[in-house]
Amino acid sequence: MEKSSEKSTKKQPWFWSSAVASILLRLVLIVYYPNTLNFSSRPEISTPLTSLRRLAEGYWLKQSSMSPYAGSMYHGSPLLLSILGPLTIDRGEGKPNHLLCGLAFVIADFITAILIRAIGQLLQVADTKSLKSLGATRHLNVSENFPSGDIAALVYLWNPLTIITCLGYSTSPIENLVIVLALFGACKRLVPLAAFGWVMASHLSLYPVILVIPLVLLVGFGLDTPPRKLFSLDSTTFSWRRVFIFILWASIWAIYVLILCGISLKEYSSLGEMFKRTYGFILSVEDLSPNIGVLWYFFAEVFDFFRNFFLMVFHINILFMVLPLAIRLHHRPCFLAFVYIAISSVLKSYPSVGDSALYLGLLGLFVNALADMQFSFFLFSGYLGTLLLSPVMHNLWIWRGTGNANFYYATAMAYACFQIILVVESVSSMLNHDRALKQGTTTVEKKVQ
Amino acid sequence: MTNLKRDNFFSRFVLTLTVITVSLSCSYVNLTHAASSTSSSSSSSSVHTNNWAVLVCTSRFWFNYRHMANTLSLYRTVKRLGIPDERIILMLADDMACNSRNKYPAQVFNNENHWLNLYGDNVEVDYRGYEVTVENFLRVLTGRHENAVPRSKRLLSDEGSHILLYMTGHGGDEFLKFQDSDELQSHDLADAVKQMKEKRRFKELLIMVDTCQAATLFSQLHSPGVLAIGSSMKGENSYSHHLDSDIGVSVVDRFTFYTLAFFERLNMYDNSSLSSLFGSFNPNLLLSTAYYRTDLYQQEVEKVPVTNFFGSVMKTIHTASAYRFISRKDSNQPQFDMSSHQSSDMNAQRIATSSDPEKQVDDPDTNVVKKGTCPHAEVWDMMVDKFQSIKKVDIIVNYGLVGLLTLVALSTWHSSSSSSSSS
Amino acid sequence: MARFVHSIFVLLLVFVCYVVSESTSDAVEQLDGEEFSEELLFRALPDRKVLSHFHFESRVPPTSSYGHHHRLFPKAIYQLVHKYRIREMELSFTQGRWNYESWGGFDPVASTNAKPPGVELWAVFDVPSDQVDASWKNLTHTLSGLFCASINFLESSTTYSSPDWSFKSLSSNLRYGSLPREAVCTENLTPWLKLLPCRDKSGISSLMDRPSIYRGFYHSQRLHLTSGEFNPVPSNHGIVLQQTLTVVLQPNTLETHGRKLQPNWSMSSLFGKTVDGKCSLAKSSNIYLHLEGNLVHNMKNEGDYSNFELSISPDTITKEVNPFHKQHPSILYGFSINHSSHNSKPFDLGFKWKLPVTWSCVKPPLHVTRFLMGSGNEKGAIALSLQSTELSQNLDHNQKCKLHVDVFQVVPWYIKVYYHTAKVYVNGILQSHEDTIEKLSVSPSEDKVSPGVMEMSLSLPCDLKSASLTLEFDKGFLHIDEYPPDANQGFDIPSAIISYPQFQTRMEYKQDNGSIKSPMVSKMQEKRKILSYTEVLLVPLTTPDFSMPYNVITITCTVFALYFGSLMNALRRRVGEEERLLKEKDKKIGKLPLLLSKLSAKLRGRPWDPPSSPPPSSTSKFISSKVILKIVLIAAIAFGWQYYYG
Repeated sequence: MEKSSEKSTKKQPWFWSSAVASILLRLVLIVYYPNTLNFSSRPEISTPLTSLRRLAEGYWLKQSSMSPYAGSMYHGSPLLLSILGPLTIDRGEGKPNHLLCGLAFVIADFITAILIRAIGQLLQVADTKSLKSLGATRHLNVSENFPSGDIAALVYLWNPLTIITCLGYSTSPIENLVIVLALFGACKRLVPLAAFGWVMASHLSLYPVILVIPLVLLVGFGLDTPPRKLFSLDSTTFSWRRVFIFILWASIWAIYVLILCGISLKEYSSLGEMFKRTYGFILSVEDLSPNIGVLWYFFAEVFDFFRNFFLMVFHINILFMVLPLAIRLHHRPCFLAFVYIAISSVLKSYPSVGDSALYLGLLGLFVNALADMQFSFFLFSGYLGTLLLSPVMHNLWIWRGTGNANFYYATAMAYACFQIILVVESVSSMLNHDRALKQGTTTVEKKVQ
Repeated sequence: MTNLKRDNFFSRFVLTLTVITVSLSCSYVNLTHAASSTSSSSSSSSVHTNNWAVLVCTSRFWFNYRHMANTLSLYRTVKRLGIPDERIILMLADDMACNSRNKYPAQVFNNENHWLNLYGDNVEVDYRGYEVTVENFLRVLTGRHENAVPRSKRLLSDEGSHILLYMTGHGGDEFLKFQDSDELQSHDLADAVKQMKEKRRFKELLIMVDTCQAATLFSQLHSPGVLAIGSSMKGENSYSHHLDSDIGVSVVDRFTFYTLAFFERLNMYDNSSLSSLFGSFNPNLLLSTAYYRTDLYQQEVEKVPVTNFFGSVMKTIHTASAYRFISRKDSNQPQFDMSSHQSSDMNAQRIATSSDPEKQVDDPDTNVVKKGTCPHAEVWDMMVDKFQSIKKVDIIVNYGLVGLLTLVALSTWHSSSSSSSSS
Repeated sequence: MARFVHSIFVLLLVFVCYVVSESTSDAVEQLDGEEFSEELLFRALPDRKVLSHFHFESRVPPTSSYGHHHRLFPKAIYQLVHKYRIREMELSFTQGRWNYESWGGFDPVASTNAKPPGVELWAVFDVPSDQVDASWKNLTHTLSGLFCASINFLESSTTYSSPDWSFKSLSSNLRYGSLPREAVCTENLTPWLKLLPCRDKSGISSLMDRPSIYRGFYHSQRLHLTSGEFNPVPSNHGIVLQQTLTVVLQPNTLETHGRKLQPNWSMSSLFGKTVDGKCSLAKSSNIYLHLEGNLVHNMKNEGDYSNFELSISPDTITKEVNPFHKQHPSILYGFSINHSSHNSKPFDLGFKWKLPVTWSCVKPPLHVTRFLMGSGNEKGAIALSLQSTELSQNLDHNQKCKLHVDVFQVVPWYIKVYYHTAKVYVNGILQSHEDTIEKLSVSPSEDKVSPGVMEMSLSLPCDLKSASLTLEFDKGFLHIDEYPPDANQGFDIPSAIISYPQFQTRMEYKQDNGSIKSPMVSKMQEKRKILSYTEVLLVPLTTPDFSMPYNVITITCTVFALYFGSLMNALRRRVGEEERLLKEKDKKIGKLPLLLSKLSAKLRGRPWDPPSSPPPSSTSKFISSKVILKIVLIAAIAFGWQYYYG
């Protein structure tokens, strides 16, 4: 957040050069320091769902004519297996060749950044338009200084979390890509693209299912506007036709994806097993290995007869906030999507820093609106502190044996708290922004009157 | 009317008469029964039929050698006094006899002098190692086992059984630690005993506990017929007796040591009473105060011989029909087994016989389907067949993915062009 | 006096028994096929130890021809076989590790009696394949009751597996399980002995003095059961029960002169007991002394068998015929207890060395060790290292020659093996899978459901010096209830089984027709696969804090409450109403709203609560009346509830 404001003053060419520089940095790190930091085995980066090593095991099982879900190793999508599987294979002599995989992830990151930039530009255009129509010139002048798309893209590209996720060979760059693709499609009102992105994202990691609400709002209403309730704007009406088309396309893509999965699993297993091993695995938190989330230690310690109850409680916690947020923020679907992504990345069963990288990038889109967000320095240092402490605690516990599980759990708790504060603060400052907008415009109106 | 009344009155009179006679006879029976049998408990059916012992050592790890020695000493004593191995449930939480730290393999001693190998040639350990858990212990007491658990691991007592329950380990205020990880609390024990009482699994129960603050473990007991002895009061520790420098650890606890000292003087036919056992505990020697809870026990402790619990008094029961009781008991089990056998065999046969008709049924079905073909179904079948015959699945999936992407691109392009045209 | 009378009585009893058995033995054999034989084999080991191998065998003809009633055969086993329809079963209790290097791994005794530490159980059932697991469960429980061991832990599906081909090339109805940490002690041996018709009261089994057996370096007690009861074709093959006990003992070395000479030993010095006579129910009761081929060969160099002296002269001396793989023929001295019990002197075989001799046992084709690699509690690798021994070096070294090695390995589910990381190195060089792995079947582990099973057939070049196989794994994290009480000790990975399908071992002795065929010798004459077990691996796993459940529950729930509460609070603030109220106040009281708005701007993080700011008296009255109304209503409802339902 801090860095972004610095860079924001620069011009367009600067964006491209720094984007290319970040890509080059990734390539250099991948080619020259392939295994120095062992990112691929860090629990913060690769979760049981996104680990490329598990994917390789699943691919191997499939190649040796077994179900990729045999054993509890692989929990991802079968399509990912056919795309990334061949890249993971051991190329004869020497080390496993992960270069191609790394390249794929770098490309995914780059495309994500470009799409985020495009979303930002669209948002900005819409914003200026609506502000102009309102006549809120004061805000207009301020916001012209911040090319939020560039900022968001650069934040995404230069975020150390994104970089280590890319180097850590986890599949989360691809998950992020499809989520952003869905958002982009919806912003641009490319309904098939939005539906495709949403279906793929839900297929890959289940939680983006809740993004259907912001996507429908985007498709139906258009981009973020100031709240209609406060201003008597009559320009936008909810277009049911588009929503219908969205649903149609979503079902088409879903059927297509399911058929593809069915074909690829035809010989060894079934779609039922796929759902059980992917969605079931996510929902029933079977793997108790440590991660930066809040659930693993809880379910390692909780008494067995309470397990199901707490599973329900924790999953409902995500769903519970969906509707209130949608009601309150329905006029800002992009921001709503950001909040949903942030919430699910805090509370999901197997979170990784890749998820955080995505919502931090998206946060850059709302630089203008969230300019007066509170605690930003506190949050920044909190993120930094927990992310630096987390590997230390993990090392103390797992490798040295001088610390115990509570150390690592404490960092996970602190991280969750910071994320929650970020979400709450951004939501309340967005609401405040709308109110300030209203105040600004009412004063303008008064003046006009 | 009067007739009816009289009838009524008469019937009532008869009824009261019968009631009185019945009750009289009952009381007479009761009286005679009470006079004839030693037991004074109210239920006429429970005669002391057999003795059981549940001996539990709850501590793991080598330095708790003495707990195992305690338990084995008691095991040896009750065996010597006549309880057979089938009626002793022995639970040992760790293996000390063949422990690699044991200088005397396959031997356990409870005294420095090493005169007596407690682990002799004929020990039957029913639960050992990781099996000694609170769950299993409560299962043994309450008799709620899985079906597969063998008889030797069950407490098959009945309403006439006298049960000795001996536990040793590390305890505290109202709990006893099992394996240093989970704990048995006093209300768990009380609940289990209550359940046993309601299931008529014992007539009299003697609970003997050698842990620190043992007395607190009995505080929740409320079932009649229960007698409890604890090695120490609340706030007191139970200490070990002495250290064996050869073995390197303490080998016996004080309470158990003096209990054994009392029993060593007895033989199977001795008539020492429980109160003499209670009297034998000297607080100065124990370094703790032994605790006896007798308020739930109806009989006078002075008159009850210790062999009621620590020995096995085989009572001869005179019945009118010879062997009936025994034969019923014995024949039940095998018959049941036989029947299950037969039934399983029958089932197998049934399966074997029934599988053929099913096949026969299956075949017509498919035939019918094939007969009643419509062109769509044919096409569908063909497609399914083709689908089934696909070999290179991966390639198809890859083509599918490429197709997916092109479709996405096409549809996106189309929609964008249409939207731009519309706008 | 009493003791004297007692001993006389015992002697008398033995004599009577003997006479009776002698007189009836022939007749009995013709009448029924139930047989029992007891045998004991001694063998000096190169590292100054002595192997003693007890072999008891009971046979019963099939029920169809013989009926249900038995004289010798243990009823418990008979019922077991019939109840669970067991075709073949083997149960072994072992403590210590068989030293393949110095005790040999190529002879029949080693390949059948070297077992992994703890308990190993496998069984083949004759039931439909969907009932096999149920039968296995019941069998484990029954055996745990029978042998006073926690074999019932093999009941859970995470502990047993069903190997396809590498363990035994039989059928799908095989189940295999092992408990590496099971303690083995007297209480396991006693019920085993109770299966013998003479228990440990007379005959060879009376030698079994518990302290001296458990003082040994290795002991393995085995029970092997084969039954032909359920064969579709009725045969004369009934149930055969083999009970063997293999002990490696160190004789007392006090009496040896100098270090060069191997220690002398006798039955009484090894066991502290002697054999008083044969078990009168046994058909044959023999003691054998086995001299290995290499030993015989080395002694020949020194002179003609004069290196040692036996305290009792042997009844038979047989020499091995057609030894395998160019080995030297071994010699078997046989002693029959039938004869020696004529005189009341107890049988005590002694073995005294006169000249020093050194030799080495025949080792298995490859020397196998298994170890863990890596540090830390997150991941690691299992490595199986195979080193050539002189036996494999003797193979002809042309290019086509391949040495086949089967590996069967069961890994518990909390060791999550990545099978795609399997690497085979030959002489330190990484090989491709196509060249070395001939056959591989894997059933990967499923969390909390089933263990991972790997069956691999390696084909290695014959001229290898060393080969190794590595597999990477991640360590799993368990729920706190799944940890044993001593979790910090670590978890065991059971032994892997290495077998060599190309090699088979047998010792063929020419038995003269006159003497009764010895079951043990005929057992040695059977061809059998060479097997060796690897070490049990101890894997430390990370533990959570066992004392934390309440803290973790409360802290995690607090975080969730923080999330839910603060987000809800942020959303609940109605900006519109806020504005409207502000406007109203603006109209009513002049400067206050300005101040308030400033205040609210300062306290933006707080929820907005109108009543806290100076409220007008009229509204306060209204509110209070409303509140009173509410309280009365609630009280009325509560009262009604209490009245009607209480």
